[in-house]
This record gives sequence, C-alpha cells and structure tokens, in this order.
Amino acid sequence: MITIDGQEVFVIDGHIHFWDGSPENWRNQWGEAWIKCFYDYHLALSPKEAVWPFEKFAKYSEEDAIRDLFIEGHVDMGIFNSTYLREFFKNGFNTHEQNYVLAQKYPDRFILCGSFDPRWGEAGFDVFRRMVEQYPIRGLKLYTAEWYNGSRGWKLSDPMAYRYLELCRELGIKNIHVHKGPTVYPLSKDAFDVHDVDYAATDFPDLNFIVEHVGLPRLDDFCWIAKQEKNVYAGLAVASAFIATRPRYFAEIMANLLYWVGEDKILFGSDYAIWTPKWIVEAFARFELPEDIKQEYGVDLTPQAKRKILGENAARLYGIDIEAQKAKLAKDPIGQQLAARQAA
Amino acid sequence: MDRAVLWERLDSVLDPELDESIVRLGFVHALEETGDTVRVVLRLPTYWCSPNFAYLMADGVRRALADVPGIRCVRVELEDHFASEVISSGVTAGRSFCDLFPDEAHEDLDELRHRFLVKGYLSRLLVLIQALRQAGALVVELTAATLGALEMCGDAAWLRTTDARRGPFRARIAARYVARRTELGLPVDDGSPLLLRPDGEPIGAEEFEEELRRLRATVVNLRASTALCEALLSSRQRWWHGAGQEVRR
Repeated sequence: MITIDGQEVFVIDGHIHFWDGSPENWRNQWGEAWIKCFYDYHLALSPKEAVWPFEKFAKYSEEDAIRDLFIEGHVDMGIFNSTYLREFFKNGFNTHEQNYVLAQKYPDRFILCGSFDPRWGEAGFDVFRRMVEQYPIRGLKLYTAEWYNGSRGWKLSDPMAYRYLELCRELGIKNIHVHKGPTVYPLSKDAFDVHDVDYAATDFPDLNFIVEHVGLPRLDDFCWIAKQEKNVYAGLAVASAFIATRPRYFAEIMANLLYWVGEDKILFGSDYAIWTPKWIVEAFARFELPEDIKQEYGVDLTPQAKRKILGENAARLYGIDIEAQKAKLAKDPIGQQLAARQAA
Repeated sequence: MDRAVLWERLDSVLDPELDESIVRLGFVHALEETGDTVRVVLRLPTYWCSPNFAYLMADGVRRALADVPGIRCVRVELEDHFASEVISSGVTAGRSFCDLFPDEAHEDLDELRHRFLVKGYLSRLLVLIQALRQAGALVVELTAATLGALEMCGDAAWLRTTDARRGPFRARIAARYVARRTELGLPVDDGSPLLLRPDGEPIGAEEFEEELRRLRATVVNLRASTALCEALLSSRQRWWHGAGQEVRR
C-alpha cells in the first residue's frame, strides 16, 4: 500500500521474479552472461542506496524477496513472470516450480504465471495441461527470445503458438504476458517488431496481452498497436526504473503511453529483483509530469491514473476484488507482520 | 598514417538503432594500425545486443576504413558478445549477414537498415521543427516553406519566410536533416517542401499536430534507448576493469 493524495492505494507489482542466477546453476557461459547483463541493468538505473552486491543479486533468499516486495516495497500482490532459460541454467532461471516455493507459502500474495513454447510441438500439449493442473497457474509469461534446440526464438503468430493459445482458452487462462523488450532474435528485420502481438490480439479478442517493457526499444510501434487493439496492455517493467535517474525520459514515456494507450491499460511492474520496488513505487506516487510535457501531449498523470496503474488495472484483469483482497491479506503472515510493525 | 583521418571515418559510422556515432557512444574500444593493416575493437552495451545491429556496425567500420589511402586490410573485432567470433571473422572477410547466419537470417539487412534510416529521419525532422518553433517560426510558415528557404552560414542557419527570417539555430540540425533526406532518396531541390513525411508527402497545416505526436513517440523511444545503452555500457565497464573497482556512474 502506498499513500497518494491522502488515499491508500493498493499495489500489484505486475512483473516480479524469484530467480537463481548463481554460478552453481550456470549451465555454460550464457548463464553467466545472462545474469551479468541483468546486473548491468540493475547498476545502470538503480539509485546508489538500492544497489546490491553481485553475489546477492545472483541469488537472493526468500526472506529478501518478502521484505523487498511486501514489508518495505509497498507491494500488496505480485505477478510472477516465470522465465525458464533451461539452455543457460541447469535448473532453469526462474521457473514456475521455483516461483511456486513462495506462492505456496503466501497464496494470496502471488499470481503465478506458467508458459508454453510452440517449439515443443504437439508433444508439449500434455506437459502444458499437467502444469495447469498441478500448479495454480493464472496467467502466462511468454518469452519469444528463448533458445531451444538450436533455435533462438519464435513468434506469437506461429501456427503452433495459436494451437497453444486455443488451449489457453479451453483451460480458462486469459492473461498472457509477452516479453517484448530487448531481444536477440529473430535476426533480421523482425527483431524490432511487435506485430506478432498484433496478429494474436486480433485473432484472440477474448485473451488479454500484456506487453512487458512496453515494447522498448519499440515503444512507438507498440503504441500504434495498443491504440488499435483493445485487449493489448502496457507492462511498465524497465520503463518504470527510469524514474529515479532519468525522470525526464520516464515522463516522456508515460505521456506517450497515456496519450496512445490510456490510463486504463497500463500496468505497473518493477521487474524485481532487477530493481527493488520500494524506490520506484515511492517515486511514482510523488511523480508529476513536467508542465511542458502535459501541455505538449494534453495528458496528465493524476492520482486516479496512478491508482489504476499501480493496482486497479491488474486487479480487473485477474478478477481481484481489492477490498475483499485487502481483508484477506491483513490476516496472512505478511499482513500480521506489517500490522505489528505499524503498531511498534 | 594520420590517425585523425581514421577516427574521423569511424565517427561517420552510426549505431543504426540510435542514429548516433559509434565513437560518440563509446563503442570503439581500440584502434591500432600496423603497416597497412588497421584493427578496430568494438564493445557494445550488452553481450546480447542484436547480432543484426552488431553486424551493421562492424561492417560499417570495415566499409568506412577500407578505402583510406594506405590501408589494405581492416580487421574488425567484436568483443564480449555472444556472436563475437562469427561476426568478427565474417566481417573481416567481407561476408554478408545471411552468409554468417544461414539458418536464422533469411533476408539481408537492407530492409532493417532502411527502417532505422527512416526512424532517424523522423528524429532529425522533429529536432528541426523544434529548433524552428523555438526560433519563432509559425506552423503555417513551416508547412508553406520550401527547402530553398533554409539559409546556412557557418554554424548558424535561418529559415526565410515571406516577411521574416526565423533563426538563428544550429546549422548542424539543418545539415543532418538534409543529409538523411538525401540518403532516403527524398527530394532535396530548392523547390521541394521543407517538411516531408518519409513517404514523400508534404505535411500540411491541418495534420501538423497529429504528425508531431507521432514523431515524438518515435523520438522518445530512440532517446530512451540511447540513455539505456549509455547507462548499460557504463555499468559494463565493471566487468572489463575487474570486479571490486568502483563503477563509474
């Protein structure tokens, strides 16, 4: 919870991880390069006081995650964007199984995303069904730049991806988070394209597509698509981290999103543990668009817009009644710990 | 060999995505010459930088230096990248992108290059418009103006309108805009409209504001990406300079 304009605001962090990037888990040089690259992102945009040593960043504890998110980070609920990378990490980087370790202990705090990969082919249908049966999978995180058997990626518009999306329909999974951020694949012009989301969103109007990282570095292309497709949403992870050290860029990104996409279709995300949510949420609560940007775009980041972006939009997508959820959360171990802190 | 000439040539190689010189971005880690051979080492902001852009920059270096008098061999080395070996040896041998990634790349990079030349054009156009607006030019003056109304003298430029002269603003802004217009094959004769969309259509007064909003989205994206790349490159120094050393922030 964070206070904005004297009002308590419910916070759903739409993009979090509980990963193992430690050397013991590296399968090869790519595992090492992966976590080091993440650490560069961490260093590049974190304010000084929020910088971690590399060893902690590579593998942090359950206690760290609970404290950083809920006790200190103002977050009420978090959405696990599971990321597998089994070709880089022996046990995977941040699988739903691993995220479930935390989700199981605090079931009301977490929304668990699973995944599919069309390159599994039909043989993967059963694996997918089993995952949905065995775990409380409420959404999916798709990572189109995953390496698999010599291939370095896939597209949401691939025919087999459509077969899996049909399976999502059948199994009642409605929210599909798609990583459309910095990527290495495909190698030609499509690498800088978000149009596969466009096709899938048109053909599956009953599913919601949350484009993580707002398509950066393809923000403009993303904006044109999200304006046209009413089931395409903007996930703020990575963009939100600009807020401390690059506030002007953050303001311009927000103004564009508010103008093209609108305040009802933007979801907050910290990308924890690349960045801790505390400083981002606090800065976001205080943030005002500079006057010249307001004038130029004719938009404003009002307290109402902030409330929607921080929690209400994600709650709507996942069918969460915020007042009922608050009552539940007050009673769980984390809620009790928070209450005890406040009393002290 | 005049090293200044080599650096000047390198300065003309752009990161296609960011529309900025690889020298200014700090991507050139080393430049060495031995006899008629020059060796250039590139380091990019992440190990995972798209190989297509990495290739375009590395190949851009080769082309920029290949015809410098006295140079017979250009060796380009891309360091600390997941496709270092393929790109370094391939570019030095002058091979095409499809040749290097036969299973993954199905078309050469002309279309990608063109797409980012257009994005760069939009950025240069917006910068020109903003400079002229700041110098007092009215929307109707901008939409009515021809390219011939631009006057450049030394570092300064002006726009002549029917009854005024708007400026001065930095001549580099006008020069960069005209240069990219030429590269894209858009008209550059004195009588052609000052403001052109990338498809060659003039921008009229009625659609000016909407066009401007689109330009801004593209430019915000480009600037945010540049800021991120610069910050990542600076963080990445840590691994190259040895852990434990203070990171330049």
